[in-house]
Amino acid sequence: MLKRRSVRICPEGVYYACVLGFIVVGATLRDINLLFVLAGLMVGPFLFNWRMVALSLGRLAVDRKVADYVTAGHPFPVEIGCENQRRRLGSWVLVFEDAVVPEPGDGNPAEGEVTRAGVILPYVAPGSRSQAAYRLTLPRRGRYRFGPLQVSTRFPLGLLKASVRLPKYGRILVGPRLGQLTPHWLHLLDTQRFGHQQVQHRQGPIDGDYYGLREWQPGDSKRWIHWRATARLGRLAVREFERQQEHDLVLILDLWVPPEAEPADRARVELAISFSATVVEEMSRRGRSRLTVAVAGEPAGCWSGRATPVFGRQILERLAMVHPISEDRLAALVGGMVLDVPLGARLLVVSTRSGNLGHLHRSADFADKLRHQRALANVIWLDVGSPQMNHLFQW
Amino acid sequence: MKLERLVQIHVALLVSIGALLLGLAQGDLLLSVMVIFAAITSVIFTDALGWLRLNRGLANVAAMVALFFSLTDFLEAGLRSRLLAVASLLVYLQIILFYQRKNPRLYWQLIILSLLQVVVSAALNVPLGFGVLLILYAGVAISTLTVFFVHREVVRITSFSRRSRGGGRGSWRDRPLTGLSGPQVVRRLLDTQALVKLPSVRRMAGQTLERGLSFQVLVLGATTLVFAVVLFFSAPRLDSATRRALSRPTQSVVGFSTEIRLNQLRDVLQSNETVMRVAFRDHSTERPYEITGVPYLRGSVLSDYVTQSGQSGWRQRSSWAAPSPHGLGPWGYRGSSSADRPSYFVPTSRYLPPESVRKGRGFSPQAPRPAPGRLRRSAGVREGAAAESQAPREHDGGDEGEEPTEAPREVRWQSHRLLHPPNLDFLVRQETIVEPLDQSVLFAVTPVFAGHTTSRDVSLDPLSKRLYSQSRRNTPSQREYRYDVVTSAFRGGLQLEVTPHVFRSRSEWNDFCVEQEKLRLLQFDARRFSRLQEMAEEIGREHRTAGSRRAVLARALRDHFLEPGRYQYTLDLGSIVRDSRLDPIEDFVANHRAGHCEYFASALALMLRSQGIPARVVVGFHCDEFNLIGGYYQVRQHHAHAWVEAYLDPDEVREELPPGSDTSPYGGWLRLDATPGFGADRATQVRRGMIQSIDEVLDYAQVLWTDYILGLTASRQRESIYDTVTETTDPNTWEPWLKQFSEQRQALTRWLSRQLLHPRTLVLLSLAIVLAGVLWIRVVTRRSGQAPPVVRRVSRWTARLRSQDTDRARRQRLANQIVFYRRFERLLQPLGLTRRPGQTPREFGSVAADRLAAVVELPHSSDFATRLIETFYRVRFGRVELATAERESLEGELVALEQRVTAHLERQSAAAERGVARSDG
Repeated sequence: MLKRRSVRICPEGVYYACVLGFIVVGATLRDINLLFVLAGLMVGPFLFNWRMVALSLGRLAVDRKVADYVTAGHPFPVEIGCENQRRRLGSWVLVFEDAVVPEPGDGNPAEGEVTRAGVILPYVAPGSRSQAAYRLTLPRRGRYRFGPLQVSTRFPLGLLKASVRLPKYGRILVGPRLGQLTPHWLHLLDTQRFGHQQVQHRQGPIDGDYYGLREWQPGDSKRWIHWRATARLGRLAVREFERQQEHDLVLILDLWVPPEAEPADRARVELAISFSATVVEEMSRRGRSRLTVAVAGEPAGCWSGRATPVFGRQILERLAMVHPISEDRLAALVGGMVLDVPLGARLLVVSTRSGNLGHLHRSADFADKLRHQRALANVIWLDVGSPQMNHLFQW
Repeated sequence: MKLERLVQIHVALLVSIGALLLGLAQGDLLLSVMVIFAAITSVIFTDALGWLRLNRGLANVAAMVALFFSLTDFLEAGLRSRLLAVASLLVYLQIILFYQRKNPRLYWQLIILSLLQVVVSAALNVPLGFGVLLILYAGVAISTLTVFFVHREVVRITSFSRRSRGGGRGSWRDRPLTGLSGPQVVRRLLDTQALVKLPSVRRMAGQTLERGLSFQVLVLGATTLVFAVVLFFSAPRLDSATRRALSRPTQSVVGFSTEIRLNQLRDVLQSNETVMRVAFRDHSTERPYEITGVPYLRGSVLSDYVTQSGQSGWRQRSSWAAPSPHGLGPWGYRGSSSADRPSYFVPTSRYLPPESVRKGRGFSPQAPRPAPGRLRRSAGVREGAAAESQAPREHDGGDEGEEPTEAPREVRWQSHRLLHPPNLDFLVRQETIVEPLDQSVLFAVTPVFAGHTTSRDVSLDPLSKRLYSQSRRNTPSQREYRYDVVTSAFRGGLQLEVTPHVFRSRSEWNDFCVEQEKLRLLQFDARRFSRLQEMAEEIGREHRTAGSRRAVLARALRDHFLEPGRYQYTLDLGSIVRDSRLDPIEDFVANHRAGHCEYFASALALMLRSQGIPARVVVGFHCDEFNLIGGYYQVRQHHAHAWVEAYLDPDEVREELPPGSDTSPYGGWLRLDATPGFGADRATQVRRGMIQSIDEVLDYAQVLWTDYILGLTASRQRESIYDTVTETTDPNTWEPWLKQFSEQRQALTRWLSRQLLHPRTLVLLSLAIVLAGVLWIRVVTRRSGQAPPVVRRVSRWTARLRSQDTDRARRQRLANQIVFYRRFERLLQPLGLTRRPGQTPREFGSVAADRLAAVVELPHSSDFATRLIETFYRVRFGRVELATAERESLEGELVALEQRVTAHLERQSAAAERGVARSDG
């Protein structure tokens, strides 16, 4: 419920009042009745405007609906709902002004200035609810805070303004920006699996047993569309098949930056995170693989599980808040995991550092450990600053 | 239509109406046309097409030029000229602004300039049309401000979107990323700001305008009007007797003149301008007095027919002097050359007053003057005051027309106030509003007296018999003039033909005056009017018998002109072949016999004089246009008229007047109208056509506009508003109404008690109640979708009484039988299977069967789903009741299925928990 609303005169109202005062003074001094008429015609709308703006914000219940998690660079809707609990008077041209600001905190990678957004709700009828929405695109990952929300109206003439500042705050976690994996990505994994390039020949349009129906997702083949179900449901439905070949993956994210990090270093970090997030999201969407993600950053962590949407979402939420370190934790991390890689799974190191596996060979965690060094032969080292990245990953 | 285009059109319309208001106020529409032209062309060529747009520098130069031109006008003398110069400057500025590229600031400037222009216009004295247009202006202004407000809000909200993209960095979507390495792309992406995307401007504006905004504008407009009216009439005015609004120019009275010059009325009589509005009220009851026929409103009395400089006509006598052959001396006629003198005269000696009068009554300059206070006191006496108060006084000021040239022997009537009526019977009050005129003469039905509301400014010149306004005598007012006088000229709605002489008591002086007047009114040059005299004598021979009255002969002479076919009334004197050797009246009577009222009046007056009947010509107005709505006569220029008054002896006057009328020992005057078609019996013109009705409404509105808008002074506000409100709240005011209401209520109760006992009434009443009840039930049912609670309760009660299985109960039972299907749907919800809107149960069942087959390890689970759906269709739509065994079988299978589904879900959640635990570890 809106309380403690303030009513102020707008600049246009000041001009209007000045002209009105001039007319009243002229009418009084010169005793000109028509100026009294004119003054009456001007005072009426002014008072009407005042009463309307004062009453329009009474007994309104306002709320904001926004998702808990979104992806950086992707627009998401922010819905503002308003319920008019009055019985008779409707509210016209309500303006909602919202603010989005990175939440303060050391571990929050989000930064930037306050972003202001506004939306107009043309009319809220008595006893009803209306909502309006704006779409917001946040470019950086991290945690953001919405609010406070300001509701104002100047209806109908814009001479006076009533406004209420609502302490309605909301939080949102913005995950890493997602891109698109190119076909080279699958090719890379397959090549590494069999040790050489292998072309798969599939028998017919399907490559597994029939599993069920699901909604169409970007990337699905048109041949998988189940047309009869699509006609019945009114939207695209595809047949889901159990893939015979799954890419189990262990992904190690190396977020190392030099102590004196430059913008370019930070860009590499973000690229590494975005690439990793895209891989996680892609595998989670396709499902049925096992995925292990380890982060050599702050906070460090390792998560493993079946690549379901729920699991993918958990990983993305952690990647949203991760930030780089100048300490080298990669060797210890890889050393701890390289022997536990499941059979058939690939170990991928996504690093912000240029170089190759020789760096790991020379590290203390691998020295004098032949088994570990042999296992390194199956590790895929991916430097996000290398040209190879452009072949694997696109925005 | 785009919102901004709507704003542009609104602003153009608003400014155009403002310019029209200015045009109405200053009486010149040139600037209005300029503004309207600029408004239309700017919307098309500047706003819509963008062909013509002044840049800021050029606009500033143009504004300076406009300021210079207006400054030259502003330096002229006179407040009105200065105000008009300011208004012109505002017009020029608006035109310049019109042709610039618009933004909210510019729109606002246009609106404010237009408002200031209206303020300037309102300071001028404006006609009714201004008020009507002002209301329209207010409506358009409210609409404009509302639309402009919506436009500003949309622009303001849209600016959030622009600001959030701003900083010169723009959206990452605006710049191509091709050819950049991954880190470069990321750096650019990080360099962007948050992007806010709002609903489109068109959509926001459309939604706002669609939501009944026009209705809101109408409500606001109506509220504004009501508020303005209440505020205007209730706000206390300063105690100022005069309004200081700039006045409009005076109107020249072209149809009426204090003298007649023949051959000059051709165009004058066709003017349609309003001269005055005259209403009559019964003096005792204050109610409107209904007049039968057409009233004669006397303006001036013309007694001398003169020919000067080849121009013949009638002049009014304004000095107590007789025509002099030399134009010299105290009794001489003014004029220095013989050409200016009248062509005939009566010897001066005949006009000299008796010696006793000249010595004893103060005609000498040395004679003592009565004190002014005595004059005032005598004016207030009703009975017998006329003769005393009309005693001659020394002249105290000039008068238009002829004046004696030598002051020591000058004897003139002093102008003084109007007398009160000798008695209070048969009095009618004449309320008159005269438009701003260039003359001080006032018009009234004679005999005229002062009433208790008559202003002291209203005076009567006894010599010229002219009613006039003292305040407007030397300086014609530029405002309408109001005056009330009282007359005793009406009996039963008819204006009497005879008016008693103004002298109501005998005296030596009055005897002298009347005799002189009669002598003067007998002036007649038989040589100039030989044919006219012959005709008059011929008529006289027919009607003059021994002992016959003058009135008979006078009416016979009048009827001579009224006989059909003998004379022709015309305003087109140019087509008449005139004999320049003859006097115009002689020529009129003898030859062409065509003319207008002045010819007829002149001819009749001269004929009467030729037969020894003193006669004079009266000019005034003869109005037959009655405004039914306002209850007044609307006198226009073309109602100007001339008629004749013939002198009658006292005996004849007594015979002519109805019993109980006032009389004078000096007789009176018989009104004779010789103009064909202008008789007193002419019915008042009550116009019924639509256009005429509109004209009446507009004229009455003009009266109200003048009285209660422009002329609402403190005193009028007190009388019309405050006193009325006080009276309304006084219980005594309502007492008669309450009493009448009580009587009506008692009568109605008696009537109803008689009627209601009649069987027919009872039957009809019962039917009406039943019909009303049915209608009420239908209305309520249609509105709420269900019958009223009372009806529902009665319905249930009757259903229970009947104890029958109604169709509704059966449907309820069937609904209870499909509970298994609802349970089936709830059971599938945890699996993510929910029937979507528009999806039939059979389709849903098909999907569910596939899903169950994959998830649940239950034999024939898909068959079960199909069977369940078929059963549902059979019950729900086939109206087949399910057997108990079949229902129990279904429920058993549902229980088994529910167990399987629960187990499946538990397995899934356990697997998920293991995955999370491993990842955390």
